[in-house]
Amino acid sequence: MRFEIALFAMVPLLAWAQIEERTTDHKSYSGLHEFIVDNVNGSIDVTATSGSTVDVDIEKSLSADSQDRMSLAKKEISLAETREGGLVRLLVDGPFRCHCADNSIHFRGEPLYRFVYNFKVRVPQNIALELRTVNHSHILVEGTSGDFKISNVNGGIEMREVSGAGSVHTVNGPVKVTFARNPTGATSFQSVNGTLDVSFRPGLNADVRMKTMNGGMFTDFPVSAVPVAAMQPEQRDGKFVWKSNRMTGVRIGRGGAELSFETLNGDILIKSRGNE
Amino acid sequence: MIGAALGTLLAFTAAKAQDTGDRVTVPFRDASKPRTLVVKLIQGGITIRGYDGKDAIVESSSRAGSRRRERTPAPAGMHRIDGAAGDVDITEDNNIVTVHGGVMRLTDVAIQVPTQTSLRLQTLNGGAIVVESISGEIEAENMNGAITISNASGSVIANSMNGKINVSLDRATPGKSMSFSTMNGTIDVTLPSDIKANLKMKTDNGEIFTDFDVKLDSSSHPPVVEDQRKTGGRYRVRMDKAMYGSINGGGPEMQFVTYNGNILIHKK
Repeated sequence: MRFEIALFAMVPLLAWAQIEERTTDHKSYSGLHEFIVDNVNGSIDVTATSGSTVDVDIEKSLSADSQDRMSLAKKEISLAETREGGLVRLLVDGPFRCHCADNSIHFRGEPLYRFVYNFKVRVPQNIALELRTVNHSHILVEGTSGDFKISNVNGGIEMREVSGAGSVHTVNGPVKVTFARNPTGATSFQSVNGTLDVSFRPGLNADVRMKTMNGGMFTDFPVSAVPVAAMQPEQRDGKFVWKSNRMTGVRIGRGGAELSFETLNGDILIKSRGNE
Repeated sequence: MIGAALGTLLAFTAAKAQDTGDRVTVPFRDASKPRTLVVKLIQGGITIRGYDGKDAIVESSSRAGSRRRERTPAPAGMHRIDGAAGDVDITEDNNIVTVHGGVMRLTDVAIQVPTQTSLRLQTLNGGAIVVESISGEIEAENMNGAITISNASGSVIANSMNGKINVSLDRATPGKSMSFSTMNGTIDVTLPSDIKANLKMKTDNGEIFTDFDVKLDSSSHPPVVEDQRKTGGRYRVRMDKAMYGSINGGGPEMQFVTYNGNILIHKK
């Protein structure tokens, strides 16, 4: 009896022994204006340098429970590289991509293997960035001055000493941004479960719209109230519907760039760096 | 109280201002057909006023409720920005405008509608229902607050759990039954002097006053007997403690019911 149990216990051990494979890669580009990373699992770290090249260190890790699954992972998961003039896009590709207009990601059922890509990127300061990732992911951007479009799902986003304008959106995680120069264009900060903590230079001129359901909205800038835009009706099955967007509007300084902050569970902190 | 009334007044005088996030003009689609306004709030007060126009003008504002969750203190050196935007969704469907309040915030609504509009108003907590200068069928239900209806005509059904009922009707739709009820509060109703009605009045802890000539009817309301003994049930005799009477020769039933409070029925 005891022998049988031992045998049964061993079978899964043999069958599910985890195989892991790590590889690294380095890529370098020059003459870029735009750099796009479309990741799925893993983090993205971007640091601005005084140089003019984009240098990317890629760490890829695959793991599977059998040799065959590992072979399949190697066949299916790849990093697709696209270059068009001054634009480079690195896209983690696999059967989960729809290969349609938005390259959206769909996972169904248990995955046969696991894959993670971690990117460490050095860029010239004024490059425009578009960074996306989904799981086990943190996005960090340091010192850039170009416009940005940063999106994460299960992880936070941090941007240090940046300028430019754009969007910083995640779902589960905090957003923390410090601006070296205040944005002059419309910029939005979003999370669902996470605090939005954004520090601006003193003398900010902005029109702010914000909303949080379970949290407070705080600032150390003097603010004045401005009415948010009127609700616009939409037509639904012959009915007219006005939905309140529940936004609170305030003006900082003389008003200017439209900044929007939206979260569900978390505080909104709009800080002046004069108090640092 | 005066402050609140002034606030309401200011809100109304500002009605010609541009629409903003807190102020929406909702047209009734067919001016020739009867109009209905439905308001359903969970937290907040409802103020409705008839005006000489065609649209419903909905203004909403949120305020900190007494039962609001414990707030986190502001981080050092920072101040809180209070969300002032009201939390309402509005639908127009075949001349019925429906205003729904949200759950998360205490939202007061002040709505102007054309004088000839029927109302169905409902709120649970945190505010009163106030109706002024409306002609139509008025139904108002408030769980923890008062209902005040003035300069109205048509018919009224007003029901509160913990609040006063105060209604003044200039004209009543002939043949329409009405009802005024509360659990804890006075019922104070002013009716046109020529109204024909059968009255049913009941208060458990209070008195009934009127300046109408009420012809009291003490005969025709025998105790209600419930006999369920055949099916193994109980036998119950229920005494009807209500007072019955008629004014101006009788008419549709008007019901006045409170447990703790007086009933006052004034002649206009």
